[in-house]
Amino acid sequence: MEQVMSTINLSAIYPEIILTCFSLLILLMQSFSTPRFKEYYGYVSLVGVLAALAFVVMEPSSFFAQTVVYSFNDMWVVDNYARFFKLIFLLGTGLTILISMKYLEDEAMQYGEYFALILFATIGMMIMASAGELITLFLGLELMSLSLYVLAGYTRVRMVSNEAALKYFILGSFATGFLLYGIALIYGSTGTTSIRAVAASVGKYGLYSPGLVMGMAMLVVAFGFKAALVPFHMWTPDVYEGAPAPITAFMSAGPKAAAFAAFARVFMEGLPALQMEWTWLIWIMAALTMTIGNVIALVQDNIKRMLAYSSIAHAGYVLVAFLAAGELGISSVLYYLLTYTFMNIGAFAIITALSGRGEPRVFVRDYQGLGFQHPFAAVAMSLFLFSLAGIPPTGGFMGKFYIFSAAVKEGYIGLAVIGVVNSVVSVYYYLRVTVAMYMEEPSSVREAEAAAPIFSPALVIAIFISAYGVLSLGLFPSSYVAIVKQSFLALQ
Amino acid sequence: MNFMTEAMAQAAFWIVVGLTLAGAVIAVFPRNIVYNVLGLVLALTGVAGLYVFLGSMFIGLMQLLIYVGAICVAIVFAIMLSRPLHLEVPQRKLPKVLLAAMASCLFAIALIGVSLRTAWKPAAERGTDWSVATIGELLLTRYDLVFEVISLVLLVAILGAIVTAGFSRRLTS
Repeated sequence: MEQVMSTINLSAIYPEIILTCFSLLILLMQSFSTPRFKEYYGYVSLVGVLAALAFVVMEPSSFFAQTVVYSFNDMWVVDNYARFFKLIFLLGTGLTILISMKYLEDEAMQYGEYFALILFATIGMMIMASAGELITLFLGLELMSLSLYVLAGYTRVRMVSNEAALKYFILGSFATGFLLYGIALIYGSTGTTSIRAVAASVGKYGLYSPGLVMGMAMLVVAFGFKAALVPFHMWTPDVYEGAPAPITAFMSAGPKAAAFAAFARVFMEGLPALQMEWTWLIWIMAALTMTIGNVIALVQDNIKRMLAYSSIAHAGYVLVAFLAAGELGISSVLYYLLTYTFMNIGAFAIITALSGRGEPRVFVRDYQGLGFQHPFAAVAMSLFLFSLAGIPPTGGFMGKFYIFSAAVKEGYIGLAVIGVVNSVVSVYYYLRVTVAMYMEEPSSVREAEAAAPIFSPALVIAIFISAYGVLSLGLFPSSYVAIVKQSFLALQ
Repeated sequence: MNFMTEAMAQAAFWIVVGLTLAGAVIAVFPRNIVYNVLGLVLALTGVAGLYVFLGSMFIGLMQLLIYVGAICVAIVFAIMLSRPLHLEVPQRKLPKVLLAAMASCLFAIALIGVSLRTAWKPAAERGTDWSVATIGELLLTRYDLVFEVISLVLLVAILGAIVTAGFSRRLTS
């Protein structure tokens, strides 16, 4: 593995620079062009995402060269781990933009800020994945969170959307306080904020410093909040329910992955010496997150709320792989987050299409009889739900398989058992939607006719990409595993 | 430094700490929002005093200028433009207050315990030069990435404020 150090290496931040330029371009377009250009904002941002994607893969050298570039005085790391996460973020962003375009048109909300904020949030996530230093990480997290607070309340005419934004903002600021306090305590006990220097300092002076342990605990709170882990999950259902459907899709994939990216880098690279302290903490959190997420999801009638609890449960599965650590554990985290991006955004694409103007149709009963009226939508929805439930031959099954085998191999058999029991429980609420689609009659024919889903070409493309991802991750996992293993190696 | 000046510096330090804490208490407890803002002003001024104790006059002044001078004034404007002050504020519920007090006490005890028991290490490199020129130079050389990201964060904050609060354009366009 080649390591490159430099004080300033602009090629290490090309993808971020490109995204910044495109979001500024959209803002300028919004201000200076005629309103008839407004349907192009989405395409412009899509071009930006694709360009950034190309640079993530190609710069500063080919993905398989395993180069690790440290730049900006060690504040910025570009390794395959960061690059893989950036691919996940950009994928989530691209799919979100595709499912947003028609939605915004229908809601008469086509403004440039929407896409600019999505791109800014993506930049924040990419900073979180690449930060080699805690203050940079904090700024990335703030950039992401601020954009998300605004996006959650984007449909201002709806009360639930306002409530979501306010709740998310207040609780999120509180969590940010924990992150800063944790960083301060770690800085106080080690004298540095650079993640690698923290590891060196802890290794040199030994770890018996209560301040360091307290700082670590506060970081767990902050990352736990952003990744929606129990007991820091309270905001999730309300925010996911209130936010516009495409934004819910966006929030459930990218930011969650970004929280895990930063979590794993700080804990595996910076605080490995404290593993004894955090193992039991994360064990309990993983067990609680899986169980509470799945059990509460059983009784939800609002499908957005149900998927919010399901997303809590999925964060629990990822946490199991996180705990297993090592090559197997981290590569299962990456594999699962990639799969989750495809299947969850896919499911939300269908929800977006079906919800209708102002999102009145987001309940399980609104899916009754969908299988006969709109076979395409119903088949795609079933595929995504099967994948979320972990039924073969989908990516969700392979992801869970890797996670639980990593957990068993590392000796976390108890957690693996809890996880498997939980995924069996989760089948009930995912299948409930499928049963409604294929085996129940719509309560009234008129209502079903009014509920015609709105499929735009962009949305159909997003559904096809997600379906392709879910199926190929399930049927041909080996090629993905090869890439994921390359990405893990860099963390060493 | 003789004993007297040492003692006076110590006393001044604890007075500033006391003012900061008192300000924080006023910012949280009274039900009148104007008192809360004034408490916040006191607390933030106290923090500026702490920066001066740490040897950074510049950051202390910036704290006064930005937080006290700009942000608190902006909050006062926001209060003035929103709901009327004479309306009844809902009472705090006792169980909620008790739970919150318990949680904060637990947290405070943990923090105090930690800060007493930790052997704090001085930073590896300790700055002695806190002049504006040095800070400016460091921001544009060593911390240039952070500097740029902060400007992005501020841009998003402005954008967010406009999107969340700007009613007029939406109604006209």
